[in-house]
Amino acid sequence: MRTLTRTQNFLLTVGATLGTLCLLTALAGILLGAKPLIFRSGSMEPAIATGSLALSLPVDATSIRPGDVVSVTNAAGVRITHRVLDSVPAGDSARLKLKGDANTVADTEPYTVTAADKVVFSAPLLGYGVSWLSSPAATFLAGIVTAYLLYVSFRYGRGQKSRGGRRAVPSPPAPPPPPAEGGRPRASGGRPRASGGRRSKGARGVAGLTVLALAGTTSVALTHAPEARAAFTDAENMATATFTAATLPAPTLGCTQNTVLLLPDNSTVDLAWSHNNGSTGATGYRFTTQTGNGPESSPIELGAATTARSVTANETSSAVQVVVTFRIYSKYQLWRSPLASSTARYTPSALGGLIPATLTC
Amino acid sequence: MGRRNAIRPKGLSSPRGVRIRALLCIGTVLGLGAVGTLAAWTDEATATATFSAGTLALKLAAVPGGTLADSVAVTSMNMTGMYPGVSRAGMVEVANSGTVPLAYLLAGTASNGAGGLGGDLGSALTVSIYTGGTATNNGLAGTCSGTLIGTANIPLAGPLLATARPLAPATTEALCLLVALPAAAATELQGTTTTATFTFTGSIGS
Repeated sequence: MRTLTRTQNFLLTVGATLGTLCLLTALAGILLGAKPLIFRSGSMEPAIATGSLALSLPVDATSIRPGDVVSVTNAAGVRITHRVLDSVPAGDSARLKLKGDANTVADTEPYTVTAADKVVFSAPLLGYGVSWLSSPAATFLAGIVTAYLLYVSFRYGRGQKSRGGRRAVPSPPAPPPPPAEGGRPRASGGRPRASGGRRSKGARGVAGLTVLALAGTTSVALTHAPEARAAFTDAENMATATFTAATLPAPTLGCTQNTVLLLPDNSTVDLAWSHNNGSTGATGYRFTTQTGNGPESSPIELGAATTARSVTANETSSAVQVVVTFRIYSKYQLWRSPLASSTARYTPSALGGLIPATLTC
Repeated sequence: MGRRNAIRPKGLSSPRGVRIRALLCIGTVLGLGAVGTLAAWTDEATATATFSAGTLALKLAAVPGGTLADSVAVTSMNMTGMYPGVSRAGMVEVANSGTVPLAYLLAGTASNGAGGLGGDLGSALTVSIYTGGTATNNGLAGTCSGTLIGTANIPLAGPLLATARPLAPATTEALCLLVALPAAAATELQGTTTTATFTFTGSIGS
Protein backbone atom coordinates (compact mmCIF):
# COMPACT_ATOMS: atom_id res chain seq x y z
CA MET A 1 0.00 0.00 0.00
CA ARG A 2 1.26 3.39 -0.93
CA THR A 3 1.12 6.25 1.49
CA LEU A 4 1.49 9.95 1.20
CA THR A 5 4.48 11.71 2.63
CA ARG A 6 3.93 14.74 4.84
CA THR A 7 5.03 17.05 2.05
CA GLN A 8 2.66 15.45 -0.43
CA ASN A 9 -0.15 15.69 2.03
CA PHE A 10 0.64 19.32 2.78
CA LEU A 11 0.80 20.24 -0.90
CA LEU A 12 -2.46 18.47 -1.53
CA THR A 13 -4.17 20.36 1.26
CA VAL A 14 -2.77 23.74 0.19
CA GLY A 15 -3.69 23.11 -3.42
CA ALA A 16 -7.17 21.97 -2.48
CA THR A 17 -7.63 25.01 -0.25
CA LEU A 18 -6.58 27.41 -2.97
CA GLY A 19 -8.73 25.60 -5.47
CA THR A 20 -11.74 25.77 -3.17
CA LEU A 21 -11.09 29.46 -2.60
CA CYS A 22 -11.13 29.93 -6.36
CA LEU A 23 -14.40 28.05 -6.58
CA LEU A 24 -15.98 30.14 -3.89
CA THR A 25 -14.77 33.31 -5.58
CA ALA A 26 -16.19 32.07 -8.84
CA LEU A 27 -19.52 31.28 -7.23
CA ALA A 28 -19.61 34.71 -5.59
CA GLY A 29 -18.77 36.24 -8.92
CA ILE A 30 -21.51 34.33 -10.73
CA LEU A 31 -24.21 34.66 -8.11
CA LEU A 32 -23.47 38.08 -6.60
CA GLY A 33 -21.30 39.81 -9.16
CA ALA A 34 -18.48 39.94 -6.64
CA LYS A 35 -15.22 41.13 -8.07
CA PRO A 36 -11.75 40.91 -6.55
CA LEU A 37 -9.61 44.04 -6.81
CA ILE A 38 -5.84 44.31 -6.55
CA PHE A 39 -4.61 47.60 -5.14
CA ARG A 40 -1.61 48.80 -7.06
CA SER A 41 -0.97 52.02 -5.21
CA GLY A 42 -1.31 53.38 -1.74
CA SER A 43 -3.73 56.23 -2.20
CA MET A 44 -6.23 54.54 0.12
CA GLU A 45 -3.74 54.02 2.92
CA PRO A 46 -3.94 53.41 5.76
CA ALA A 47 -7.32 51.74 5.24
CA ILE A 48 -6.19 49.76 2.19
CA ALA A 49 -2.48 49.42 1.58
CA THR A 50 -0.62 48.86 -1.65
CA GLY A 51 -0.81 45.20 -2.60
CA SER A 52 -4.13 44.61 -0.87
CA LEU A 53 -6.76 42.35 -2.30
CA ALA A 54 -10.29 43.61 -1.93
CA LEU A 55 -13.64 42.07 -2.68
CA SER A 56 -16.30 44.29 -4.19
CA LEU A 57 -20.01 43.90 -4.83
CA PRO A 58 -21.92 45.79 -7.50
CA VAL A 59 -24.27 48.47 -6.19
CA ASP A 60 -26.66 50.89 -7.87
CA ALA A 61 -25.36 54.42 -8.16
CA THR A 62 -28.28 55.77 -6.19
CA SER A 63 -27.46 53.65 -3.15
CA ILE A 64 -23.90 54.96 -2.91
CA ARG A 65 -23.34 57.07 0.19
CA PRO A 66 -20.45 59.32 1.19
CA GLY A 67 -17.90 57.26 3.07
CA ASP A 68 -18.29 54.18 0.88
CA VAL A 69 -15.23 52.95 -0.95
CA VAL A 70 -16.18 52.32 -4.55
CA SER A 71 -14.39 51.25 -7.68
CA VAL A 72 -15.14 53.07 -10.91
CA THR A 73 -13.51 53.44 -14.30
CA ASN A 74 -12.31 56.89 -15.23
CA ALA A 75 -12.39 58.59 -18.62
CA ALA A 76 -9.01 57.16 -19.48
CA GLY A 77 -10.33 53.66 -18.85
CA VAL A 78 -8.34 53.22 -15.68
CA ARG A 79 -10.04 51.71 -12.68
CA ILE A 80 -10.01 53.96 -9.64
CA THR A 81 -10.96 52.81 -6.17
CA HIS A 82 -11.51 55.69 -3.80
CA ARG A 83 -13.74 56.85 -1.00
CA VAL A 84 -16.91 58.75 -1.87
CA LEU A 85 -16.87 62.37 -0.74
CA ASP A 86 -20.09 63.37 -2.35
CA SER A 87 -22.77 61.69 -4.41
CA VAL A 88 -25.28 63.68 -6.41
CA PRO A 89 -28.04 61.45 -7.80
CA ALA A 90 -29.51 62.25 -11.19
CA GLY A 91 -32.15 59.81 -12.31
CA ASP A 92 -30.72 56.31 -12.05
CA SER A 93 -27.16 57.56 -12.24
CA ALA A 94 -25.07 59.53 -9.82
CA ARG A 95 -22.23 61.97 -10.05
CA LEU A 96 -19.52 60.87 -7.65
CA LYS A 97 -16.75 62.92 -6.17
CA LEU A 98 -14.03 60.60 -4.94
CA LYS A 99 -10.90 61.07 -2.89
CA GLY A 100 -8.16 58.70 -1.86
CA ASP A 101 -7.69 58.61 1.91
CA ALA A 102 -4.00 59.29 1.49
CA ASN A 103 -4.57 62.07 -1.01
CA THR A 104 -4.70 65.64 0.08
CA VAL A 105 -7.12 66.60 -2.64
CA ALA A 106 -10.11 64.98 -4.27
CA ASP A 107 -9.88 63.42 -7.72
CA THR A 108 -10.02 66.08 -10.39
CA GLU A 109 -12.45 64.11 -12.46
CA PRO A 110 -16.04 63.63 -11.30
CA TYR A 111 -17.41 60.21 -12.18
CA THR A 112 -20.92 59.81 -13.52
CA VAL A 113 -21.99 56.20 -13.08
CA THR A 114 -25.12 54.10 -13.00
CA ALA A 115 -23.45 51.39 -10.96
CA ALA A 116 -20.18 50.90 -9.15
CA ASP A 117 -18.33 48.17 -7.31
CA LYS A 118 -18.46 48.80 -3.60
CA VAL A 119 -15.56 47.43 -1.59
CA VAL A 120 -16.91 45.21 1.17
CA PHE A 121 -13.74 43.54 2.33
CA SER A 122 -10.04 43.99 1.95
CA ALA A 123 -6.95 42.21 3.15
CA PRO A 124 -3.41 43.50 2.98
CA LEU A 125 -0.68 41.80 0.95
CA LEU A 126 -2.97 39.25 -0.74
CA GLY A 127 -2.91 41.34 -3.90
CA TYR A 128 0.80 40.70 -4.21
CA GLY A 129 0.06 37.00 -3.90
CA VAL A 130 -2.65 36.97 -6.56
CA SER A 131 -0.50 39.10 -8.80
CA TRP A 132 2.46 36.79 -8.34
CA LEU A 133 0.35 33.72 -8.91
CA SER A 134 -0.61 35.22 -12.26
CA SER A 135 2.99 35.31 -13.39
CA PRO A 136 4.15 32.75 -15.97
CA ALA A 137 6.68 31.33 -13.52
CA ALA A 138 4.03 30.68 -10.91
CA THR A 139 1.72 29.15 -13.47
CA PHE A 140 4.45 26.83 -14.63
CA LEU A 141 5.33 25.86 -11.09
CA ALA A 142 1.70 25.27 -10.16
CA GLY A 143 1.28 23.15 -13.25
CA ILE A 144 4.24 20.96 -12.34
CA VAL A 145 3.13 20.58 -8.75
CA THR A 146 -0.44 19.78 -9.68
CA ALA A 147 0.61 17.23 -12.22
CA TYR A 148 2.82 15.67 -9.62
CA LEU A 149 0.02 15.61 -7.04
CA LEU A 150 -2.42 14.08 -9.49
CA TYR A 151 0.10 11.43 -10.35
CA VAL A 152 0.73 10.69 -6.68
CA SER A 153 -2.91 10.70 -5.70
CA PHE A 154 -4.03 8.25 -8.35
CA ARG A 155 -1.08 5.98 -7.73
CA TYR A 156 -2.02 6.13 -4.05
CA GLY A 157 -5.58 5.06 -4.62
CA ARG A 158 -4.61 2.36 -7.07
CA GLY A 159 -2.05 0.88 -4.74
CA GLN A 160 -4.40 0.76 -1.78
CA LYS A 161 -7.30 -0.84 -3.54
CA SER A 162 -5.27 -2.84 -5.91
CA ARG A 163 -6.90 -5.95 -7.24
CA GLY A 164 -4.31 -6.26 -9.88
CA GLY A 165 -6.45 -5.12 -12.76
CA ARG A 166 -6.21 -1.38 -12.65
CA ARG A 167 -3.46 -0.99 -15.17
CA ALA A 168 -5.94 0.46 -17.62
CA VAL A 169 -6.19 3.81 -15.89
CA PRO A 170 -5.25 6.28 -18.54
CA SER A 171 -1.72 7.26 -17.87
CA PRO A 172 -0.66 9.70 -15.27
CA PRO A 173 -2.14 13.10 -15.83
CA ALA A 174 -0.58 14.77 -18.70
CA PRO A 175 2.24 17.21 -18.29
CA PRO A 176 1.17 20.62 -17.04
CA PRO A 177 -1.56 21.76 -19.34
CA PRO A 178 -1.03 24.78 -21.49
CA PRO A 179 -2.34 27.72 -19.52
CA ALA A 180 -5.39 28.59 -21.51
CA GLU A 181 -6.64 25.18 -22.38
CA GLY A 182 -5.61 23.49 -19.18
CA GLY A 183 -9.06 22.10 -18.53
CA ARG A 184 -9.43 19.99 -21.61
CA PRO A 185 -6.82 17.30 -21.15
CA ARG A 186 -8.15 16.58 -17.70
CA ALA A 187 -11.72 16.61 -18.79
CA SER A 188 -11.13 14.14 -21.54
CA GLY A 189 -8.87 12.23 -19.25
CA GLY A 190 -11.81 11.60 -17.00
CA ARG A 191 -14.08 10.12 -19.56
CA PRO A 192 -12.41 6.79 -20.20
CA ARG A 193 -12.54 6.10 -16.52
CA ALA A 194 -16.18 7.11 -16.35
CA SER A 195 -16.97 4.54 -18.96
CA GLY A 196 -14.74 2.09 -17.25
CA GLY A 197 -17.70 0.36 -15.70
CA ARG A 198 -17.43 1.27 -12.04
CA ARG A 199 -20.07 3.60 -10.75
CA SER A 200 -17.84 5.32 -8.26
CA LYS A 201 -15.36 6.06 -11.01
CA GLY A 202 -18.13 7.49 -13.15
CA ALA A 203 -19.32 9.67 -10.34
CA ARG A 204 -15.80 10.79 -9.73
CA GLY A 205 -15.41 11.66 -13.36
CA VAL A 206 -18.52 13.78 -13.26
CA ALA A 207 -17.32 15.42 -10.09
CA GLY A 208 -14.01 16.08 -11.74
CA LEU A 209 -15.67 17.66 -14.73
CA THR A 210 -17.77 19.83 -12.46
CA VAL A 211 -14.72 20.92 -10.58
CA LEU A 212 -12.94 21.72 -13.80
CA ALA A 213 -15.85 23.72 -15.10
CA LEU A 214 -16.09 25.71 -11.92
CA ALA A 215 -12.37 26.21 -11.84
CA GLY A 216 -12.51 27.55 -15.35
CA THR A 217 -15.07 30.05 -14.26
CA THR A 218 -12.91 30.90 -11.30
CA SER A 219 -10.16 31.84 -13.60
CA VAL A 220 -12.55 34.30 -15.19
CA ALA A 221 -13.27 35.85 -11.82
CA LEU A 222 -9.62 36.07 -10.90
CA THR A 223 -8.60 37.49 -14.22
CA HIS A 224 -11.22 40.13 -13.82
CA ALA A 225 -9.53 41.24 -10.63
CA PRO A 226 -8.94 44.68 -12.08
CA GLU A 227 -6.04 46.59 -10.74
CA ALA A 228 -7.48 49.36 -8.72
CA ARG A 229 -4.73 51.70 -9.63
CA ALA A 230 -6.16 54.04 -7.08
CA ALA A 231 -4.92 57.29 -8.51
CA PHE A 232 -2.50 58.79 -6.10
CA THR A 233 -2.88 62.51 -6.05
CA ASP A 234 -0.14 64.71 -4.75
CA ALA A 235 -0.51 67.58 -2.39
CA GLU A 236 -1.44 70.83 -4.00
CA ASN A 237 1.58 72.56 -5.38
CA MET A 238 1.13 76.25 -5.80
CA ALA A 239 2.86 79.00 -7.65
CA THR A 240 1.68 82.44 -6.67
CA ALA A 241 2.05 85.89 -8.09
CA THR A 242 0.41 89.16 -7.23
CA PHE A 243 -1.11 91.60 -9.66
CA THR A 244 -2.17 95.14 -9.01
CA ALA A 245 -4.02 97.28 -11.47
CA ALA A 246 -3.06 100.90 -11.92
CA THR A 247 -5.29 103.82 -11.09
CA LEU A 248 -5.68 106.28 -13.90
CA PRO A 249 -4.84 109.67 -12.37
CA ALA A 250 -6.97 112.73 -12.96
CA PRO A 251 -5.55 115.18 -15.49
CA THR A 252 -4.36 118.56 -14.33
CA LEU A 253 -6.57 121.38 -15.62
CA GLY A 254 -5.60 125.03 -15.70
CA CYS A 255 -7.48 128.21 -16.64
CA THR A 256 -5.74 131.24 -18.12
CA GLN A 257 -7.20 134.52 -19.32
CA ASN A 258 -7.08 135.04 -23.04
CA THR A 259 -4.84 137.84 -24.18
CA VAL A 260 -5.13 140.02 -27.26
CA LEU A 261 -2.09 142.02 -28.26
CA LEU A 262 -0.58 141.31 -24.84
CA LEU A 263 -3.63 142.77 -23.09
CA PRO A 264 -6.00 140.65 -21.05
CA ASP A 265 -9.19 139.82 -22.88
CA ASN A 266 -12.00 139.29 -20.40
CA SER A 267 -14.30 137.70 -22.94
CA THR A 268 -12.43 134.41 -23.36
CA VAL A 269 -10.67 131.97 -21.11
CA ASP A 270 -8.19 129.32 -22.24
CA LEU A 271 -8.38 125.92 -20.60
CA ALA A 272 -5.36 123.65 -20.85
CA TRP A 273 -4.83 120.20 -19.37
CA SER A 274 -2.24 117.53 -19.22
CA HIS A 275 -2.30 113.90 -18.36
CA ASN A 276 0.73 112.75 -16.43
CA ASN A 277 0.58 109.02 -16.65
CA GLY A 278 4.03 107.72 -17.36
CA SER A 279 4.45 105.82 -20.54
CA THR A 280 0.85 104.89 -21.14
CA GLY A 281 -0.61 108.37 -21.56
CA ALA A 282 -4.31 108.73 -22.20
CA THR A 283 -6.38 107.63 -25.15
CA GLY A 284 -8.76 110.58 -24.90
CA TYR A 285 -10.62 113.09 -22.74
CA ARG A 286 -14.19 114.00 -21.91
CA PHE A 287 -15.09 117.66 -21.25
CA THR A 288 -18.20 119.22 -19.71
CA THR A 289 -19.32 122.70 -18.67
CA GLN A 290 -21.77 123.65 -15.91
CA THR A 291 -23.24 127.11 -15.41
CA GLY A 292 -24.04 127.87 -11.82
CA ASN A 293 -26.06 125.06 -10.38
CA GLY A 294 -27.62 124.29 -13.71
CA PRO A 295 -27.30 121.08 -15.68
CA GLU A 296 -24.01 119.95 -17.09
CA SER A 297 -23.57 120.46 -20.80
CA SER A 298 -23.53 117.42 -22.99
CA PRO A 299 -20.05 115.99 -22.90
CA ILE A 300 -17.51 116.70 -25.55
CA GLU A 301 -15.30 113.73 -26.36
CA LEU A 302 -11.79 114.79 -27.27
CA GLY A 303 -8.93 112.83 -28.72
CA ALA A 304 -5.66 112.28 -26.97
CA ALA A 305 -4.01 114.97 -29.09
CA THR A 306 -6.34 117.73 -27.85
CA THR A 307 -5.05 119.31 -24.67
CA ALA A 308 -6.51 122.84 -24.76
CA ARG A 309 -9.84 124.51 -25.34
CA SER A 310 -11.02 128.16 -25.40
CA VAL A 311 -14.38 129.17 -23.97
CA THR A 312 -15.93 132.54 -24.73
CA ALA A 313 -18.38 134.48 -22.60
CA ASN A 314 -21.15 134.30 -25.16
CA GLU A 315 -21.27 130.55 -24.83
CA THR A 316 -22.85 131.18 -21.44
CA SER A 317 -26.21 132.71 -20.75
CA SER A 318 -27.20 133.91 -17.35
CA ALA A 319 -28.96 137.04 -16.08
CA VAL A 320 -26.79 137.26 -13.04
CA GLN A 321 -23.14 136.79 -12.24
CA VAL A 322 -22.46 133.08 -11.95
CA VAL A 323 -19.66 130.59 -11.55
CA VAL A 324 -18.93 128.42 -14.54
CA THR A 325 -17.37 125.04 -13.80
CA PHE A 326 -15.30 123.14 -16.36
CA ARG A 327 -14.73 119.45 -15.75
CA ILE A 328 -12.55 116.95 -17.57
CA TYR A 329 -11.43 113.37 -17.14
CA SER A 330 -8.90 111.24 -18.95
CA LYS A 331 -9.73 108.01 -20.72
CA TYR A 332 -7.56 104.96 -21.23
CA GLN A 333 -9.35 102.23 -23.16
CA LEU A 334 -12.50 101.72 -21.06
CA TRP A 335 -10.95 103.21 -17.98
CA ARG A 336 -11.76 106.73 -16.91
CA SER A 337 -9.90 108.85 -14.42
CA PRO A 338 -11.32 110.93 -11.61
CA LEU A 339 -12.50 114.41 -12.62
CA ALA A 340 -10.37 117.51 -12.68
CA SER A 341 -12.19 120.84 -12.51
CA SER A 342 -11.57 124.54 -12.90
CA THR A 343 -13.90 127.55 -12.56
CA ALA A 344 -14.40 130.95 -14.16
CA ARG A 345 -16.74 133.79 -13.27
CA TYR A 346 -19.33 134.93 -15.79
CA THR A 347 -20.71 138.44 -15.64
CA PRO A 348 -23.62 139.20 -17.95
CA SER A 349 -23.63 142.22 -20.20
CA ALA A 350 -25.02 145.45 -18.76
CA LEU A 351 -26.52 148.75 -19.89
CA GLY A 352 -28.25 147.22 -22.88
CA GLY A 353 -25.07 145.71 -24.20
CA LEU A 354 -22.82 148.71 -23.83
CA ILE A 355 -20.78 146.77 -21.30
CA PRO A 356 -20.13 143.27 -22.76
CA ALA A 357 -20.37 140.05 -20.82
CA THR A 358 -17.12 138.85 -19.35
CA LEU A 359 -15.63 135.50 -18.39
CA THR A 360 -12.67 135.64 -16.06
CA CYS A 361 -10.58 132.90 -14.47
CA MET B 1 -16.34 4.93 19.37
CA GLY B 2 -13.82 7.60 18.47
CA ARG B 3 -15.60 8.07 15.23
CA ARG B 4 -15.33 11.82 15.25
CA ASN B 5 -11.59 11.54 15.58
CA ALA B 6 -11.28 8.96 12.93
CA ILE B 7 -13.46 10.47 10.22
CA ARG B 8 -11.45 13.45 9.26
CA PRO B 9 -8.09 11.89 8.71
CA LYS B 10 -9.77 8.97 7.06
CA GLY B 11 -11.86 11.18 4.79
CA LEU B 12 -8.93 13.27 3.68
CA SER B 13 -6.49 10.42 3.39
CA SER B 14 -8.85 7.97 1.77
CA PRO B 15 -8.28 7.43 -1.93
CA ARG B 16 -11.35 9.52 -2.65
CA GLY B 17 -10.26 12.32 -0.33
CA VAL B 18 -6.82 12.41 -1.85
CA ARG B 19 -8.15 12.44 -5.37
CA ILE B 20 -10.69 15.13 -4.66
CA ARG B 21 -7.98 17.24 -3.20
CA ALA B 22 -5.86 16.61 -6.23
CA LEU B 23 -8.72 17.59 -8.51
CA LEU B 24 -9.27 20.76 -6.53
CA CYS B 25 -5.63 21.54 -7.14
CA ILE B 26 -6.35 21.58 -10.85
CA GLY B 27 -8.80 24.36 -10.22
CA THR B 28 -5.96 26.48 -8.96
CA VAL B 29 -3.84 25.76 -11.96
CA LEU B 30 -6.64 26.69 -14.29
CA GLY B 31 -7.33 29.84 -12.36
CA LEU B 32 -3.78 30.95 -12.81
CA GLY B 33 -3.15 29.46 -16.19
CA ALA B 34 -6.09 31.12 -17.84
CA VAL B 35 -5.02 34.62 -16.96
CA GLY B 36 -2.91 35.00 -20.05
CA THR B 37 -5.77 34.09 -22.35
CA LEU B 38 -8.35 36.11 -20.54
CA ALA B 39 -6.17 39.15 -20.59
CA ALA B 40 -6.68 39.11 -24.31
CA TRP B 41 -10.43 38.91 -23.87
CA THR B 42 -10.69 41.84 -21.56
CA ASP B 43 -8.11 44.42 -22.60
CA GLU B 44 -6.81 44.49 -19.09
CA ALA B 45 -3.35 43.11 -18.70
CA THR B 46 -3.62 41.77 -15.22
CA ALA B 47 -0.76 39.34 -15.60
CA THR B 48 1.81 42.08 -15.51
CA ALA B 49 0.58 44.08 -12.58
CA THR B 50 3.14 46.52 -11.36
CA PHE B 51 2.67 47.91 -7.92
CA SER B 52 3.16 51.58 -7.34
CA ALA B 53 4.52 51.59 -3.87
CA GLY B 54 6.75 54.45 -4.91
CA THR B 55 6.38 58.03 -3.97
CA LEU B 56 4.48 60.67 -5.83
CA ALA B 57 6.07 64.05 -5.46
CA LEU B 58 5.44 67.06 -7.61
CA LYS B 59 7.64 70.08 -7.00
CA LEU B 60 7.76 73.55 -8.42
CA ALA B 61 10.43 76.14 -8.86
CA ALA B 62 10.34 79.69 -10.05
CA VAL B 63 12.69 80.25 -12.94
CA PRO B 64 15.35 81.50 -12.99
CA GLY B 65 17.16 80.81 -9.80
CA GLY B 66 14.39 79.14 -7.81
CA THR B 67 14.77 75.95 -5.85
CA LEU B 68 12.27 73.13 -5.97
CA ALA B 69 9.55 73.35 -3.35
CA ASP B 70 5.91 72.51 -2.86
CA SER B 71 4.90 76.12 -3.18
CA VAL B 72 6.77 78.95 -4.77
CA ALA B 73 6.21 82.66 -5.30
CA VAL B 74 6.89 83.57 -8.89
CA THR B 75 7.99 87.10 -8.23
CA SER B 76 9.09 87.63 -11.80
CA MET B 77 5.44 87.46 -12.78
CA ASN B 78 4.28 90.06 -10.28
CA MET B 79 2.87 93.19 -11.85
CA THR B 80 2.00 96.53 -10.38
CA GLY B 81 0.43 99.48 -12.11
CA MET B 82 -1.28 97.35 -14.72
CA TYR B 83 -3.17 99.12 -17.45
CA PRO B 84 -5.58 97.50 -19.85
CA GLY B 85 -3.63 95.59 -22.45
CA VAL B 86 -0.50 94.87 -20.44
CA SER B 87 0.92 91.42 -19.99
CA ARG B 88 3.74 89.74 -18.16
CA ALA B 89 5.45 86.40 -18.57
CA GLY B 90 6.90 84.19 -15.85
CA MET B 91 8.52 80.80 -15.81
CA VAL B 92 7.60 77.89 -13.55
CA GLU B 93 9.51 74.64 -13.53
CA VAL B 94 7.39 71.59 -12.77
CA ALA B 95 9.39 68.65 -11.47
CA ASN B 96 8.51 65.03 -10.78
CA SER B 97 10.64 64.36 -7.73
CA GLY B 98 8.96 61.04 -7.03
CA THR B 99 9.67 57.57 -8.27
CA VAL B 100 6.61 56.97 -10.40
CA PRO B 101 5.39 58.64 -13.59
CA LEU B 102 2.69 61.17 -12.96
CA ALA B 103 0.41 63.45 -14.87
CA TYR B 104 -0.40 66.93 -13.71
CA LEU B 105 -3.20 69.38 -14.16
CA LEU B 106 -3.12 73.11 -13.59
CA ALA B 107 -5.86 75.32 -12.25
CA GLY B 108 -5.85 78.95 -11.32
CA THR B 109 -7.59 80.81 -8.54
CA ALA B 110 -7.42 84.46 -7.59
CA SER B 111 -7.89 86.10 -4.25
CA ASN B 112 -8.78 89.74 -4.57
CA GLY B 113 -7.44 92.27 -2.12
CA ALA B 114 -9.24 95.30 -0.78
CA GLY B 115 -9.04 98.72 -2.33
CA GLY B 116 -9.41 100.23 -5.73
CA LEU B 117 -12.72 100.76 -7.42
CA GLY B 118 -14.06 97.36 -6.41
CA GLY B 119 -13.64 95.47 -9.66
CA ASP B 120 -12.90 91.75 -9.74
CA LEU B 121 -9.35 91.74 -11.04
CA GLY B 122 -8.93 87.99 -10.57
CA SER B 123 -11.74 87.29 -13.01
CA ALA B 124 -10.43 89.77 -15.54
CA LEU B 125 -6.92 88.37 -15.89
CA THR B 126 -6.20 85.87 -18.60
CA VAL B 127 -3.44 83.31 -18.99
CA SER B 128 -1.70 81.65 -21.89
CA ILE B 129 0.54 78.70 -21.16
CA TYR B 130 3.56 77.76 -23.21
CA THR B 131 6.01 74.90 -22.91
CA GLY B 132 9.62 74.72 -23.93
CA GLY B 133 10.24 78.43 -24.19
CA THR B 134 11.49 81.36 -22.20
CA ALA B 135 9.83 84.42 -20.75
CA THR B 136 10.66 87.90 -21.94
CA ASN B 137 9.27 91.07 -20.42
CA ASN B 138 9.68 94.32 -22.26
CA GLY B 139 8.00 97.18 -20.50
CA LEU B 140 4.27 96.62 -20.60
CA ALA B 141 4.34 93.55 -22.79
CA GLY B 142 5.51 90.08 -21.88
CA THR B 143 6.07 87.29 -24.34
CA CYS B 144 6.61 83.57 -24.06
CA SER B 145 8.52 81.70 -26.70
CA GLY B 146 7.84 78.01 -27.07
CA THR B 147 4.67 76.14 -27.90
CA LEU B 148 1.26 77.31 -26.80
CA ILE B 149 -0.62 74.65 -24.84
CA GLY B 150 -4.33 74.71 -25.58
CA THR B 151 -5.97 78.07 -26.09
CA ALA B 152 -4.47 81.48 -25.54
CA ASN B 153 -5.94 84.00 -23.10
CA ILE B 154 -8.14 81.74 -21.04
CA PRO B 155 -9.54 83.11 -17.77
CA LEU B 156 -7.01 82.80 -14.98
CA ALA B 157 -9.60 81.60 -12.49
CA GLY B 158 -10.42 78.08 -13.59
CA PRO B 159 -8.85 74.99 -15.17
CA LEU B 160 -5.84 75.99 -17.22
CA LEU B 161 -4.90 72.66 -18.77
CA ALA B 162 -7.52 70.71 -20.67
CA THR B 163 -5.59 67.46 -20.45
CA ALA B 164 -3.13 66.26 -17.87
CA ARG B 165 0.51 66.53 -18.86
CA PRO B 166 2.64 63.45 -18.23
CA LEU B 167 5.90 63.81 -16.36
CA ALA B 168 8.34 60.94 -15.94
CA PRO B 169 10.21 60.47 -12.67
CA ALA B 170 13.20 62.77 -12.25
CA THR B 171 12.19 64.98 -15.15
CA THR B 172 11.02 68.56 -15.28
CA GLU B 173 8.95 70.66 -17.58
CA ALA B 174 9.40 74.40 -17.86
CA LEU B 175 6.16 76.27 -18.34
CA CYS B 176 5.92 79.89 -19.35
CA LEU B 177 2.81 81.59 -18.05
CA LEU B 178 1.73 84.77 -19.78
CA VAL B 179 -0.71 86.74 -17.68
CA ALA B 180 -2.57 89.61 -19.31
CA LEU B 181 -5.09 92.26 -18.41
CA PRO B 182 -7.25 92.52 -21.53
CA ALA B 183 -7.54 95.87 -23.30
CA ALA B 184 -11.27 95.81 -22.65
CA ALA B 185 -10.81 95.69 -18.87
CA ALA B 186 -13.55 97.52 -17.00
CA THR B 187 -12.85 100.85 -15.36
CA GLU B 188 -13.85 99.44 -11.97
CA LEU B 189 -10.64 97.42 -12.00
CA GLN B 190 -8.52 100.50 -11.35
CA GLY B 191 -6.44 100.23 -8.25
CA THR B 192 -7.56 96.69 -7.47
CA THR B 193 -5.16 93.97 -6.50
CA THR B 194 -5.26 90.19 -6.58
CA THR B 195 -3.07 87.26 -5.69
CA ALA B 196 -3.17 84.57 -8.32
CA THR B 197 -2.51 80.99 -7.28
CA PHE B 198 -1.59 78.40 -9.87
CA THR B 199 -2.26 74.97 -8.42
CA PHE B 200 -0.48 71.99 -9.92
CA THR B 201 -2.04 68.66 -9.05
CA GLY B 202 -0.07 65.57 -9.92
CA SER B 203 -1.65 62.15 -9.94
CA ILE B 204 -1.05 58.61 -11.01
CA GLY B 205 -3.55 56.70 -12.99
CA SER B 206 -5.82 59.41 -14.21
